Amino acid sequence: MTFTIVIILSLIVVISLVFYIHRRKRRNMKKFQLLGLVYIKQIKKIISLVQAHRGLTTAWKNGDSSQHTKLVKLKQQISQETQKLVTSSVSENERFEAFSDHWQRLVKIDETISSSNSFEQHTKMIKNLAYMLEDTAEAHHLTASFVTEFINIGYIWRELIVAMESIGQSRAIGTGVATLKFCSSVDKIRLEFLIQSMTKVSDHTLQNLSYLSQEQNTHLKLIEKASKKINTLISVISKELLEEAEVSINNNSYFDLATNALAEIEEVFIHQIKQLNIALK
Amino acid sequence: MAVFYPIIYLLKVINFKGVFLLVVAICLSILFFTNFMPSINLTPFTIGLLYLVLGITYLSSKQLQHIRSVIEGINTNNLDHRDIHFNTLIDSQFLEQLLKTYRELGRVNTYNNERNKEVEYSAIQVIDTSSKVKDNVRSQSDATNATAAAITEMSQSLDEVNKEIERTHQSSCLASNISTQGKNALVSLNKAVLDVSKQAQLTQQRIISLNDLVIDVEQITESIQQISQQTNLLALNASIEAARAGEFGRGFAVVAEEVRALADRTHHSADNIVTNINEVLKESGEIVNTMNDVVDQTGICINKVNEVDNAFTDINNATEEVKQQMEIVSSVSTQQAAATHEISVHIEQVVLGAKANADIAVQSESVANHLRQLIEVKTLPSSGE
Repeated sequence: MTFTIVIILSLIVVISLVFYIHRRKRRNMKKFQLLGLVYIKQIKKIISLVQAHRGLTTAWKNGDSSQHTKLVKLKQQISQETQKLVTSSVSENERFEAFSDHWQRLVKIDETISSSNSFEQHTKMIKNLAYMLEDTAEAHHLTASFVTEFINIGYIWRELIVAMESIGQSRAIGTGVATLKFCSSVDKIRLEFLIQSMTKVSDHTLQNLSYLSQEQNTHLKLIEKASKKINTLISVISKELLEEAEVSINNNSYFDLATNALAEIEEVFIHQIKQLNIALK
Repeated sequence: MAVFYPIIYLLKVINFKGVFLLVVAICLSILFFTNFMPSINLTPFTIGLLYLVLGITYLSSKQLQHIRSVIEGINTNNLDHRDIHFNTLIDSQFLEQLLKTYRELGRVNTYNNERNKEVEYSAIQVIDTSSKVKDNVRSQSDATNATAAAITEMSQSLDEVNKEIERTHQSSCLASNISTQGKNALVSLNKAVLDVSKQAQLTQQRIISLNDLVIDVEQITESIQQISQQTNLLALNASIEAARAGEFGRGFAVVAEEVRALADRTHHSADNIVTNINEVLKESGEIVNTMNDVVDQTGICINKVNEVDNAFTDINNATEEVKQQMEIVSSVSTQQAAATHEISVHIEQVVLGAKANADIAVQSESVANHLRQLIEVKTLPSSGE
């Protein structure tokens, strides 16, 4: 009798313990995932700022001195936003240290290096930040295994970021071309290659993003708007920068056009984050 | 094996290590109760223990199979770590490290693939550019060949032009000589004509003088004739009266003598007329001589004119020859101009081709440098440089 009671009590204790641990783990997991989203948004913000800095630097180095004031302001912003991550777990990622170091060194030599070198340096930093964003997402269990509502959640952390980077690169190169009023062979090859990437984004990446059923309408509208903006940008690059013997488009107009396309993709990104927040809560 | 679901759930909720510790604790409990409380029936514990041991053994086997199948299912083409899902109860640190390594490998692969695509695309552009260069070079070669042929043709034409120019020169010399002769002949002709003119003037004056003399002679002759008629009448009357008067008519005989004297004077007048006529004849003779001279001079003039005519004929012939030769020269010159124009066009093409080649070469160099830079990057941008 005593034995049976012991057995029953033991089972109750074990089951209660298991249930408690299970709930606690789930709660901690969601909290951890939501924290990951906060970090991701912050990293994404830094990526956008560095991309803008790259575009304006290209214009400035190609002769548009009016961009210098904006660049100084952007530098301060990037440093401030980076500082916000110093105390977080993101800073434990070796890529964060690499980025901080690279950025500080670039700020010192930015005014002396060539336009192409500056572009390469910025691009490498953005690539590094994009990897860091994906690392952070996975470290915070923001993967398809843990967020089952979003089968293609990995597309947000990689393909969508790469898509924005393609547009960012085309913005930087195109702004330089529009400032110089000349498109070199290398720039043509790069722009044509980026057009291929952007077409892939419009046709494939955006269409494969997951969404919550209640957010379907908003999601589809954003995808349509983003696709239209990308196609417009592709059309302008083809006609104004690649086909025309003499480039006539104003650099600020082109920069704004590309920024609009980038903003639409960022809207999609923000909406994905919003949906993830809903799913995790 | 649904019978093992409770333990699978248990392992999922806690973890593999926790369950293992639980099993160890149960085993120790069994040993404790076996040694110190032998009166207690241990059959349920034994059953539980067996259940746990069998369950863990089964799960371990399944876990290993799962890990093996995941590793075997890795897509080596894209090396995308997101395709790997470990549904395992084993301590995740080991698998996380494995996944991290695979993730970095995948990124290297993606990075290299992107680079390769860009290199491939750039290479296609270089090939396209090279193709354009090739076409330009071929076009240049064709133009150069055409230029060479045109130059050869022009050279041959120039030889002919030189020969024709030489002939033209000789003809020109001949024409010049003939022209000089003609000029000299014309001078002589001019002089002769002047002489004729003078002679003609002289002849004219003499003819006028002769006419005056003839008029005088005519008047004199008329006077003589009148006088002669009167004399004859008087002589006739006197003779008649003298005859009637007889002796008395002797006075008339004196008259008749006077008449005779008049007749003498008439005779003298007639002599004068003769003399004048002789003068006239003399003048006429001189006129004849002068006219002969005129005729002679005219003959000379005719000869000279003939010479001039011949000279001008020769000049005309020579001029005609020059004209024909000049036509040939003109024709050759036209061919030469056409050939020169063709050369000019070809040379222009050569120049344009050379300029295009130079531009393309500069662009090709940039593209080649870009390709070189792409190839030089061998590491991921993880270190920041």
